Amino acid sequence: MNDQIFFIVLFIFGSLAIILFGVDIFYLIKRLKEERYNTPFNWSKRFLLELEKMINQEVKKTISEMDQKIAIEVTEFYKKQMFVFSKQAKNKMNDWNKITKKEISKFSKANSQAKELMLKEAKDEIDKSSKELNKKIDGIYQVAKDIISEKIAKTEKNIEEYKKEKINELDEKIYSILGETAKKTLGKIIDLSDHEKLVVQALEKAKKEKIL
Amino acid sequence: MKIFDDFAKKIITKKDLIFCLKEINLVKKLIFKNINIPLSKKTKEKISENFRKEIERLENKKIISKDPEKNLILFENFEKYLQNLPQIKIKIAFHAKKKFVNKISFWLKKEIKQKVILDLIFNPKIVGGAIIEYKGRQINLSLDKKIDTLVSQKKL
Repeated sequence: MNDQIFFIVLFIFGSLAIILFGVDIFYLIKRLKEERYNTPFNWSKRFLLELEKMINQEVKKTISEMDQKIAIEVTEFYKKQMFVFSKQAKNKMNDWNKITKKEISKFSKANSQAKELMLKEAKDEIDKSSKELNKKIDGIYQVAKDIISEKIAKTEKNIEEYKKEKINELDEKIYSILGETAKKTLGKIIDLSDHEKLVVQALEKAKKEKIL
Repeated sequence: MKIFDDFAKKIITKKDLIFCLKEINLVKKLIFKNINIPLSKKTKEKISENFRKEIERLENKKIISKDPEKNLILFENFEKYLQNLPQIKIKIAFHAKKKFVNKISFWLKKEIKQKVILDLIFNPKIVGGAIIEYKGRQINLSLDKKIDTLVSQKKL
């Protein structure tokens, strides 16, 4: 940027110098004209015209050369500056690339770190959640276990009661059958005299019991 | 009812009692027929010979007179006496023979000191022993009950 400003200032000063040189030539010609009229020499009009023409040509030539020179210098300068600028720009670009790479690396690193951090946090959060979940599951499992244990105990108790009930029923049936068998057997084996004895015994007992 | 006491002694069972009451009813009906004919003759072959002989015995003793009204009252009283005799209901598991029935009747008269009519009911389900019911009270002394008790106590 500074190089560009310097180049522009130089260009302005060059132009100014050319203009000042032109002005100086103009005043010189004017003085020569005045002096011609005032000079004791009487310059021929033709000579003066030729001189003026020649001077004009010289001036023009000089200006043209100056222009070319300035243009060459300016071009050279510009080229030089452009080269410098280009070099600087290239350096800058290289620097920028380096910086960019560095930044990218930094960013990548930061990103990686952030990623790791996030992963770590996520992992921690998952671990925490997992622990909480495990805790909750343990709680639910414990409650469910208690309920199931209670149900099993109740069912076992019911089964036991049912078994007892069925065994009792079976016992009762067996005893009932035994009773019926005993009655039938006794009914067949008791003879008449035994029957009579039993009736007499019954009457005696009834007397004792004050039924009679 | 001492008049019929000897005859009443022969009435032991409820069956005897029902039979006797039927005969009394028949006699009551014959009292007013042919009043000049003695009752013992009018009832011949219409009632049991035992009962007819008892009537004849009472006629000889002039207890049964020629007055049919008095005779009716006499038989009505006898009927009431029989109907009011206490009954003992005994359920047994066998068909009791006459000898055993008499034995029980004797035992009862001796122990209770009162004439009772035996109502013997045959029920084989009681297996053995007896279920006795007297004056509204009952006692089950059957083998059936004893076996049931043993079954319920699971001691069989």
